[in-house]
Amino acid sequence: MLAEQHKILIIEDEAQIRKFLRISLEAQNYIVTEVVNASAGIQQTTENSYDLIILDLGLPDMDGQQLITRLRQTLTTPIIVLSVRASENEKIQALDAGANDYVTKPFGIGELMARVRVLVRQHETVDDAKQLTVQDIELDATTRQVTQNKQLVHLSRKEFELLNMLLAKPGRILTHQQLLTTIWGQTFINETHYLRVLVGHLRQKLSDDPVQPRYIETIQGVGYRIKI
Amino acid sequence: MSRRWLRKKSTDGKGIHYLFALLAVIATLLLAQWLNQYIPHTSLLLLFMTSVVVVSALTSLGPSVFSGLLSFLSFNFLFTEPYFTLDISHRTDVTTLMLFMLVTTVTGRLAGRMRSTLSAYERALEKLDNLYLFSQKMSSATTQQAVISLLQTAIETNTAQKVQLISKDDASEDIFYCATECLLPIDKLSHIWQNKAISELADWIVFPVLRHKETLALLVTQRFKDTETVETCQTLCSQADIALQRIQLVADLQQTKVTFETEQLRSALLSSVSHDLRTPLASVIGSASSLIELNDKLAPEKQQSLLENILNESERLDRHIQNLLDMTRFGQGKVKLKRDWVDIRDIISGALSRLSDVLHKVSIEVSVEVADPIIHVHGLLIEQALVNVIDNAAYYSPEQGRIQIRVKQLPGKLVIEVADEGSGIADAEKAKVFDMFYSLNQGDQHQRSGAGLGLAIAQGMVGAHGGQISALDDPLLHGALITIQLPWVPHPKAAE
Repeated sequence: MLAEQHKILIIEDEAQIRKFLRISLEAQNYIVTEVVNASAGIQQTTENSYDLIILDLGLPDMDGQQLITRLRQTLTTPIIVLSVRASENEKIQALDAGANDYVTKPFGIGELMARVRVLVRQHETVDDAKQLTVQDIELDATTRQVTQNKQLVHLSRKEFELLNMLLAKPGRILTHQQLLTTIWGQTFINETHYLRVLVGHLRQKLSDDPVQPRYIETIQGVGYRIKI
Repeated sequence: MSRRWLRKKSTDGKGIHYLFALLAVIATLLLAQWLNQYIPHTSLLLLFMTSVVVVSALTSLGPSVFSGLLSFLSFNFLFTEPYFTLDISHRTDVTTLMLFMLVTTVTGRLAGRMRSTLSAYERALEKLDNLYLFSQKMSSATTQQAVISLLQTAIETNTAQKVQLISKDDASEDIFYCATECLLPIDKLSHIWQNKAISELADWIVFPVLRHKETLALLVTQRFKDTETVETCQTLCSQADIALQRIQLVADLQQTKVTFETEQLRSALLSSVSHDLRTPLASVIGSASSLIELNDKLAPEKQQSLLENILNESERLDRHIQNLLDMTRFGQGKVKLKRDWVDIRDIISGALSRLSDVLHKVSIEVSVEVADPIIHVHGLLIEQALVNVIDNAAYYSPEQGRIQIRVKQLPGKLVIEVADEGSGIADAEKAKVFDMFYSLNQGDQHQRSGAGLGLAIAQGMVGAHGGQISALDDPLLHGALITIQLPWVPHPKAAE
């Protein structure tokens, strides 16, 4: 833990939320910087480099979605979005604009910490490994082989593609649109049932219980994420 | 249809009637000529009589007298001595012929009177028919505009003239609207509007459209002589008046009902807010203040338990707030279903993970016995409904009680059952637990008060999908059984 400390930028206008985020994150040995609006946030990101940005969607000076798009023009830093429980659309928009994850207010700190850990680690290990591993599943992109607990699992082409996409971004939500466009193509962007059936088949082959999934988590109305 | 055809014939076909009379006489004449060899000529008169009666029965007075006269003359000319003259030598013949003329005239008149009575009846009947049709249309009209335009059309049909509609946008102002150039002088309109009776002005006749002595519009058409038509139009106007009053009454009633319901909902909401929100808040405030005040006097595990209490109750509070928000959104009809294909197992999974803090004291058993678990619903709403139902079941479950969630398929629907081992719901309450007002009004006294609005909202969400939710007794767990039925259609096949 003492080797390296990760830097986190919090862009949030509510003092109470900033307070408990700072206390909790510092307790986990992160270095925290707080700003209260979007413009200060943009300034901070140009002056310093961060390992993670926690961004509130309801900022006083700029629309959150706009800010994500703006930040993504220059940065690859992972972004976690904080949003009040509104429509699914807002979350999907944020994810499509380039946010890596979201947490709905009110949230427990444990939930946020888990997301932070995943994204910081992921950002660190950006490699072109063709070997993807999550839990006991291993996927080799070159041989196109998938093993579960060292046992070979036979997947169809689309099942493999889906698993590949999910494993490539462990812990990150992939929206229905992102999955549908990549696996089926742009014209099938609204055919969510294709995805439902495919996920059902994939879960079956991985003996994953859909009611209490071990590997593939459904984010209702938004998308899927692989559990790590 | 047949009546109309007959009437048409009787008014338009005068010439044809005379021709018919002539032909009848000629035919009788030929027949009489032939029969003359077998029977005495006086008896032939009966033949002529028959033909005259037939003519008068089928036509009017004119043709019947015409045929009588023609028969008289031809009989005189052909069958009385001296033949081929109009002289009569036998006295009996004279008497017979006189009597013949008399009978012909009387029958003709009788037949004529019968016919005119008949056609009067027909006209009256047709008028009644039209009126009936009109009043039928009136009673099915639901808007003021519809009634007025029906009345306009009806007057146009009756008078066979164009009728102009003059109306006002704002009843309190003297600004009038005409579809085309106004037929009446503008400066007189205000006066006519106040008049509230059929009035005539220059070439025009004005029918006011009234709703209980209040003028809503004016209908103007060319003046006509026929008083009967004016009467008909008047009847139409008063029919419209009744229809307009009825529409007004319905609208008033609806308004009263809406106001009443909104008022009731508002007060119910307030009492629910105080109950549903204050209960968890009391725990939060109590636990937090205990921690601050007595921090050093509390054993670590007691501190931990108070903190957990704060967390759990805050999360309950959050669910209640979500429910209240959902309910107001439903109340305002602002909820739009965003249906998509979702796996019912994902919905259950989502609901269970949202309730993970509540469910640690019970054990959950899920069985999904369906061939195709993909359903076309608004996933988040059904998840919320299920959260409410499972939350309710957990609330009434004994410590370490079982909750079974069973998904079954019936023809055209998917059924989700949630059963618990609680004390169940009394028969009298079964229908009421979903009633928003009922659960609100029960407040603290109610046995199931902890459920708050949850079940009522679940019903709203399921109902919005065209589904049904109901409360039963569970034969397996002997507690309450809530069933959610959702319409189900197979999803389109995926292109592999």
